Amino acid sequence: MSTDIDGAMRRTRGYWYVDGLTEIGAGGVFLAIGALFAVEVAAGDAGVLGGVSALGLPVVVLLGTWLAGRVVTAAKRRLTFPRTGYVAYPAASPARRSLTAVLGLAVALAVVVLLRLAGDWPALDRATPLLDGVAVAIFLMFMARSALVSRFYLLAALAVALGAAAAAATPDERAGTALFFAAMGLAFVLSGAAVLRRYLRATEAAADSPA
Amino acid sequence: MSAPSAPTASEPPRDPAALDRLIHEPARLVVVAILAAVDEADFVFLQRQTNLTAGNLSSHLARLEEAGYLEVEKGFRGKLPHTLLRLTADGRRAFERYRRELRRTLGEDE
Repeated sequence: MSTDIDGAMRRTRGYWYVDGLTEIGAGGVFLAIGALFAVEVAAGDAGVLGGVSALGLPVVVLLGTWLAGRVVTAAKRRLTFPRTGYVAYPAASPARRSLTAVLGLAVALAVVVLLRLAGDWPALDRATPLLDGVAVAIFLMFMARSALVSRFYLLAALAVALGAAAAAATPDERAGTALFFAAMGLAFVLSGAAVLRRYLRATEAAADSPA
Repeated sequence: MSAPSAPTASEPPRDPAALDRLIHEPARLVVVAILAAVDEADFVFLQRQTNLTAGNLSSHLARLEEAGYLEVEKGFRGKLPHTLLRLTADGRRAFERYRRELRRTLGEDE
């Protein structure tokens, strides 16, 4: 038996991703973001829907994340916990929540600055989907390392590739962003579904034993 | 069980005998490391993660519970027995202390 303490703790954190459900949930949120930008592109600059992403993006992200979390947890209760066991992870400490909020604000500020710069610099405007891909890739690589989930490295590489492809496909930054999020959402859903299928085939409901 | 005093970073490497023997046992070390990463987990999860037999795992859990490191909550999920396990505050402190002592014993910087 290995007594690799850090490894045991990381594998325990990685258990949340063992069934692919989280990827399917994240994929749903990404598809919703892609749809939001697609609506904006279709509506053009005129009309009520012309600037829908400015208002709709925080709503879709927050509501989508909350909803996906509820659905994923409910699915885990039904599919995962009876098969390979139940785990509850500690809630983030107030310090960690504050750090997350500060980082979130910093990222939002960076996006605003980038968008302002993009107006004066078309090349940056066009590279927005690629920057989205790089940001998603950085997050995925952090998750892959902290929870020892190697397939996230592949998804990170795919995020950069899809970002580059979306940037190359269209000069319209919003259309490129819609393309990137839709493609990445689909990739998440497909990856999660494949992992879930393999997980369900490899496991069956287990009986508890007295401790 | 008496807890060893927490040394400072400037202290020299320690004697391995200073390590908490209860946690130092390999199977229990893995059990405690897993439980330290979560709020709580059930018996099924722990058994799958450790690859221990039910009887072996139960005996290790009993030792940890006797020492006050572990809280065991027995109940039912539907008609099936369900055992929830979580480290106590003492258990978490003992594990952190053990990790510090181990690093020091191995001569690693914190």
